Amino acid sequence: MKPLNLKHPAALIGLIALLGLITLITLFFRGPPEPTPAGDPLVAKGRDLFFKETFNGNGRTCGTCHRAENNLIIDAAFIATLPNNDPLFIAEINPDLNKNFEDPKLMRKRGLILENQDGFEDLAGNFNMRGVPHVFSQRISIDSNPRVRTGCISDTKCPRTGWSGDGAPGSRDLKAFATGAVTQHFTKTTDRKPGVDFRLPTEEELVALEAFQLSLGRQAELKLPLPLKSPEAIKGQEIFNTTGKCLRCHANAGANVPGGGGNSNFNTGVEDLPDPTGDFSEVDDGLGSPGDGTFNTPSLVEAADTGPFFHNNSVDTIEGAVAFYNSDAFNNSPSGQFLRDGADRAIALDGTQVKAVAAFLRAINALDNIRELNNLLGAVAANVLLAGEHPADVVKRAVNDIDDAIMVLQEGGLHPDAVQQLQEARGLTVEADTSPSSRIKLAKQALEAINEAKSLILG
Amino acid sequence: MLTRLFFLGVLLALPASALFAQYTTEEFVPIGASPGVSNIYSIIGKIATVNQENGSLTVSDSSGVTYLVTNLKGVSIWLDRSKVKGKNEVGSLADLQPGRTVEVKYKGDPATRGTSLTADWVKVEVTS
Repeated sequence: MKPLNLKHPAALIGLIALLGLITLITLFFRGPPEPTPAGDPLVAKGRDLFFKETFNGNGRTCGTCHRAENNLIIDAAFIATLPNNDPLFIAEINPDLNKNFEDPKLMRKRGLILENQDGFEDLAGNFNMRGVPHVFSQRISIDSNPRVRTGCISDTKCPRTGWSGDGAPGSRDLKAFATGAVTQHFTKTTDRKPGVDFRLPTEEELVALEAFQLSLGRQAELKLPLPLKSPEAIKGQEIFNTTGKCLRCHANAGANVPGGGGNSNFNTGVEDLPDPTGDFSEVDDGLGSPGDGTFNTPSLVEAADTGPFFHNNSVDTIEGAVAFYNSDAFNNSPSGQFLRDGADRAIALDGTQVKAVAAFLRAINALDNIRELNNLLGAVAANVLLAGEHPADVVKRAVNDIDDAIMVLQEGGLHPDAVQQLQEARGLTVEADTSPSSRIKLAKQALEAINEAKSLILG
Repeated sequence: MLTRLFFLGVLLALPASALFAQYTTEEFVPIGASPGVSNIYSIIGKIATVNQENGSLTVSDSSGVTYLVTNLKGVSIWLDRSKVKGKNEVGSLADLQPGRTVEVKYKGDPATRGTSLTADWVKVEVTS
């Protein structure tokens, strides 16, 4: 065979063309440059612990119930997608936990987990079934005012965690919460021997877990009224702040009472709802032991895409949750009686008003998803590690949040124009997930569509 | 005015001595490991004397300070068996014996704490 004569023009041109083709192919398939670290390394450490650390227990992590891909909650529909060997189902897998640890039937049917909040002396007889609350916006949703509360840890600190506001041992705050959670949910046997059935989180781990959880969701309250564009949502916001009396417990649609009281507990009569299913045979008496019937106030901004609702997942839809406040169960409850303000009933909304309030909650939830998407896709577009999370993973989470925003709007019949923009953003984000080399450009385009959607919901 | 009345309603709804529920997982937290509490809102030391009749004891900590602890008849007493990898359990006044290591969570603030403490809960180390 003759050697290639590079002095020949055709050969030289061919070689240059070949090299150019190789370069183009390499550039096309090469991903973006490695992302630069950004954000708090403590939050990154906390994220790692939250989703991966089993604390030498039964295989569960915090993320077993607070699922990254499901708005940090579990519900029956999501649970049905899990394989039978998922650690969530450890009570069905581990013979040491098949009694008095979970109720698999209620877990699968209603997304409920078992809590022994009155102690562990009578596991068979003393327990309650509760839903998994989302853990967004805890920075602004846990603290309450010690000057107007009882049973505080000190004169200056009165945190409220968990569905009855008493979810943590020790200092009872978010930092201490993981200690109680590991003890209740991570144990290998119902003996709960520390150092044998699980290990307790170290102080450093508790600090990191707290930092991560505080980083989740909103870091500031909304300032109502918002300049919404949907007439129904505008009407709903007005009802929320006036005749609906929602703001009396949920100031700015958050978790706090107005006037500086912070997060509170109330007895709103959820336990008195009729139960045609027979699922709720155990009475949950709420805060304290014995309980006083009160439960903790959650934030409402995040509500529309984190159902089912209330401490026992007894209501499936946001419309149903709003309609609950029309019920006899609520109006006869201590809170309902207190809110009567001299009338026969505290709250009496007609069907259109209920729907309007729900539309308002749907709109602000969609906006909150958009806020989060600006963080997520902004990090992808800037090619940074978002508190240790790689853009390739962030993009996947962004698809979930876009889906949530689409769902809450579509289910409420709201803003089809914004839905269209969100669907376009979804397509771009899915493409960003599958085409790493174009991820940055596609994220930027998706952000444009998402913010166009925002401008159609909010003035 | 309505806001203040609302707060009053909340206050009246809460029993004055509410035992916070999930703090029952405290039972399984070994002495010295209670997050945000151990050695801040609690003292740890060896039991010197016990008065079962009036529900009090004296505790000496590692720096030699002796505390008088009262109100033991109304609080949770937990047996910490973690050192022998045993199961922690609810205990009683009878388990508070001289020489045993104890952690006492007290009521009130560390800044104003003296050497007379009102117990909120007690953990006692048991090695059998």
